[in-house]
Amino acid sequence: MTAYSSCQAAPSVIIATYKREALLDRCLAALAAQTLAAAEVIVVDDASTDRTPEVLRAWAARSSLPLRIERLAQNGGPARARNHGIRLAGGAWVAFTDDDCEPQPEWLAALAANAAAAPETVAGIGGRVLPAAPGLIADYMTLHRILDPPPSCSYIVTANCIYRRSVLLEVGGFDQMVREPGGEDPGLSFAVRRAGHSLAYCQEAVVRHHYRESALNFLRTFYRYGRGCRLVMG
Amino acid sequence: MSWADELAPMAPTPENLLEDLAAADRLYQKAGVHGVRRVAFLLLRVGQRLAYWGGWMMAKNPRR
Repeated sequence: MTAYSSCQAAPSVIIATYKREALLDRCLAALAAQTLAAAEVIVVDDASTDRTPEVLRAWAARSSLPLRIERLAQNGGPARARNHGIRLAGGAWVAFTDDDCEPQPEWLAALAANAAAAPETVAGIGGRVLPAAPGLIADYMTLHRILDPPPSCSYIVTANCIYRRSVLLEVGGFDQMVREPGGEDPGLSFAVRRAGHSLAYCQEAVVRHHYRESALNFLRTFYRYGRGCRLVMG
Repeated sequence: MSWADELAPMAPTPENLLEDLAAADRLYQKAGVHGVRRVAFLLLRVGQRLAYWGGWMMAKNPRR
């Protein structure tokens, strides 16, 4: 892995969040513990009705995390929330993680180093998604590598990725027709590849994902994936 | 196999499901998943395929 040079601008980090106050708190703690500080951490609150605004205000007050809090007036789904963050971001590279993930301390440094060394043709880089805790569903998702990029690297997911901001703007960001999580991130990857760019994989960039150990939630998740993927494929 | 490899999923006919379950079972055996856990994984696999297919079929794309 190429070392990240201090003369290069650090990436922006974008998180879309909706009603996950406890998990978001853990996510922000993980971002505060990064070995490479983000240029900015843009959290777009998608009109949460729980204590998310309080959690964010507390972080802004007590932490040196370069936090930028954006609250949307109406819930519109993670695609729209992330697009809002992309428009605001100042970094040439924009990293994404989700509010139910805990990036490991070397996460951003690994993504940034790979981004700095990437050829111009590479527009996005994805990393590994491992479970935050063992469990039946967590182990199943991990064994099937559900959230890891496939060997062909045909797509990367927002739990763990970084994109060139210029390319995100070029392709119009995430497809906002997908209003629930699932499908919007491979949809973005396909749009990026259709525009002539390629994607890469960085196994050193690791996030830990909190899976809900619920069979009903498992089924809902794949239902949303199926619906979202159909939508982005047109 | 990753879920996005199934972007255009095959209809979950009994033949397709059995073929997929056989492949999944080989994966579980190789990974050392045994007993009740292996049965639970196979049930999750069936659930994954059916739920994904259901979502795919129910999507209404205003652009189409």
